[in-house]
Amino acid sequence: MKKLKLQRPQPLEDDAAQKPQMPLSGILTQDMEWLKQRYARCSDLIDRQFIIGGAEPRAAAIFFFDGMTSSKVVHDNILQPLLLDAEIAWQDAVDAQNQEKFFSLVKQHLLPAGEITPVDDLIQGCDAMMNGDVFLLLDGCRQGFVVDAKGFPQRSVNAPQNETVLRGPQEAFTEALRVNTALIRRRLRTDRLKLEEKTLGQLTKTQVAVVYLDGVANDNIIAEVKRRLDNIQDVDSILDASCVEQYIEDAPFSVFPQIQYTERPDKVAASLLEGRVALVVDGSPEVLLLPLLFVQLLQSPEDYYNRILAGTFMRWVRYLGLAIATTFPSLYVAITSFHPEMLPLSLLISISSAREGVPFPAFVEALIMELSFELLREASIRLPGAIGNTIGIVGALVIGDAAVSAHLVAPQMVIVVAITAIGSFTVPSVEASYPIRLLRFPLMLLAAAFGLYGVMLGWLAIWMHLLHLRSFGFPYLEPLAPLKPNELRDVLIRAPRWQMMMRPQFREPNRNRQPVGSFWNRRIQPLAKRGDDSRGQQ
Amino acid sequence: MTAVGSSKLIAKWELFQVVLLMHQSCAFWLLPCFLLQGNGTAGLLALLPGLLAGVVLLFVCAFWSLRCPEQPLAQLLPVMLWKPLGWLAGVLLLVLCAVPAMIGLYGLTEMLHAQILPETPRLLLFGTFFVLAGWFSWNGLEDMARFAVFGVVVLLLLLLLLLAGSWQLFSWENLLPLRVQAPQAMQMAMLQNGFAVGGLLVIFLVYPARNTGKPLVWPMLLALVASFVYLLVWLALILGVFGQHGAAAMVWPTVELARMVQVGPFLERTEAIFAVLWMLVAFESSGLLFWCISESTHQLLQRQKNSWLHWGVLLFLLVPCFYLTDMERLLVLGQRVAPWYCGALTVLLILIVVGTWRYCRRKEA
Repeated sequence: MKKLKLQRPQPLEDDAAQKPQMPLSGILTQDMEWLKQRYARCSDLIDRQFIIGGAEPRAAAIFFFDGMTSSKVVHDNILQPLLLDAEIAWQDAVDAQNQEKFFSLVKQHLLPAGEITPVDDLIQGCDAMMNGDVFLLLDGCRQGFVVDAKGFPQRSVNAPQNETVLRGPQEAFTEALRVNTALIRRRLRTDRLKLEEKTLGQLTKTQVAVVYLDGVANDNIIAEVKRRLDNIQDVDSILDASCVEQYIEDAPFSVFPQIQYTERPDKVAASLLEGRVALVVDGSPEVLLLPLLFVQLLQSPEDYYNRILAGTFMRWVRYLGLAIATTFPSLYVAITSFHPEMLPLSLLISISSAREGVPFPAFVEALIMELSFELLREASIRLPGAIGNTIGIVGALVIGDAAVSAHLVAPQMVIVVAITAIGSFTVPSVEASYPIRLLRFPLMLLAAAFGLYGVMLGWLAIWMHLLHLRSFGFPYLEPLAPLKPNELRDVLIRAPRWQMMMRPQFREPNRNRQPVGSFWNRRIQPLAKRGDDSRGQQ
Repeated sequence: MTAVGSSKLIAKWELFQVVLLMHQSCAFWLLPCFLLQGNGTAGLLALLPGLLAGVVLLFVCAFWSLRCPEQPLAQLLPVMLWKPLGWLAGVLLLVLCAVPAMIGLYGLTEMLHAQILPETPRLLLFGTFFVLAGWFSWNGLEDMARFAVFGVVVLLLLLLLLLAGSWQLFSWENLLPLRVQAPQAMQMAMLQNGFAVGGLLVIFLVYPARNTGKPLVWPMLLALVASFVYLLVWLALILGVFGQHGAAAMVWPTVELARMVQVGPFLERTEAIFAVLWMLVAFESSGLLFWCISESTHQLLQRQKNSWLHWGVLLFLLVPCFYLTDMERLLVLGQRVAPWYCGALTVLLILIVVGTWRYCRRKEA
């Protein structure tokens, strides 16, 4: 695998210099004509021309896209003040005929919107309209206004769908970037939380926010993220966070994810406190977290909300689930085909008698059942909720029972596949379940060819790949290999919070060891002094 | 700018792990057979010269690396010595790494073929492992050093499992009497111990990756002693369970010992599990030896990393396998090659010391 050499981000040319310049002419009809021509055959474009002021009226116009702006904001914050309140303001104005004064008057007195931005370029105005803003043009002025009036339809904040927990916050991200950043900001109320936005995709103009904690996140990682994002500015479309992921990850052909997805704001906050960087992509209900270590795929926020022993126990259950989900079918195939002597005689006789009449070797049996299960899983996802669940359960029961009755598979193979499926469900992240499902098949094939030797060959190949894999420069298997004993306290166990006071390796080179004393000193420290709690909810 | 969080250096404990694993080396399965046949418990004494030779090798490595830290060994040999002699020493280094690699790999193949996969062709077993180890070595030292942690864990796990599984059958009386019965067999055992020491040559290439300018003899010595104790316990366990005559009659006493382990009434005849776990250790040591061979060749020829050269050199190692068609031939080869191997190892170490001394004098002048 080609190792990506990370470099400092190249200084970009000035943004303004890159954009096509189409300055406002100052002649309203001309600018309106240009806009109408640009958006010809766009039936959702609304243009509204009107007159500001009574004694010395000035023509003006607003442009916006229907459905993307809030009608209330347009009415209350733009049209009403400009049409009705302008009369009063006009009387107070001195020399309103002066263009600059007029422009200032509108800006200072007649636009009560939260965010207004003067623009002198029609293209900038068009870009703002695409984001749901209103573009205000004033006759005789070479500058217009972009007024924040976003009001496109969006989902409300709901409970997470894929990362459910019994204890802990029940909020999930939505598709709106600003809502998502607000959910993060609400948890990290510090000026050190930085959000740097970039626009990606020539046609989609998708907003992507690079979120990090200044002074906590590794500067090299931030620079590298920005560099990689800058490299994909020329692509046509960024429709989801996964599109960004595919462009910026280290090894796109690997089955293992190198960037983590989450729909939980608390997880993002905890990751930022660890020194990781988050990418919030407009239109995506999931936030990208990077860098990613393999062990983080098996950590759930609930580990940290539960008591220490419960958290540790659940973590080990998950490790067991991972081992079962990847290896159990291949072990079954290997032992029944190559090493039956390992089983006690009674079990061997039981297995052999159950397999009597089954025309296929164990590998084909396993393959049939695993593929059937994958089909069921895929089918249940595509179907509506209630029907999907029913199909999943009924399908598994009916097909399993029928296959055993028809002597197509042995009953124990159904058990093996069922346990494997349950094991795979224990993995808390969706992106981690794909490698497990994909690797199961080659491992089964190797087991059918070489027995346990084949299984070990397969695992050696997987380990080799994992050892070589990096996520934004960090070895994927850290802290296991290279071994970092200090950080194993959040891998082998879920150590007490007061023992996880040092930020993990992402902090380097800005690592700052928190003052620690003896166990009891630490135990009785007030919470505010117990480090940053950064390992809180990974 | 270097990669974020990456380091071309390997950690101190990774060096410890590498030394430990390389001393266990590829001859891990064969060593009990080499040492115990014809010697009984006295074969344990044959480990001592091996330990001594290992210590000497580590000191030579430290001596060389502290004085010539700027260049890799194989590249420096023709400079340190008279050019043809330097080349000869370089080739000797390659051969000395290749012999334990091939003996170990073929030993593993034979063990797998004899014990768990009798119907699978040897060539297939050998080929799959060879390709995987070759690929591993291509990935570079950093990955292999990280992998070493798994190898050490497996080694410890194996010993604990075998101790737990066969402790009830162990008898101290089986270890007695402790006397040298056949001096010639003892001499041969000591010489064959050289294959395990030869694996440590990898340190000459690994050590510069710890190029911290400080001597790191202590962690390496500690690893060597740990490995020595490990082998001692291992061999004593075999002798204590099977007795001197029983152990001497076995080709794979380690596998026979694993056969004794059973997990309650549920899982028995677990030697297949042990065998594949041993593969981890073999994988690491083979990978490191392959890397050493490939790296030395690149350095000698002064070439950049080249996949053709890497696989070409490794494929060249397959030639002796046409001679090794069964276990008996491997044992005979081991006996024939051992004296030459030990002699060549001594010559190489002397050449390195002399070369380093000459090089330093020349630099001072």
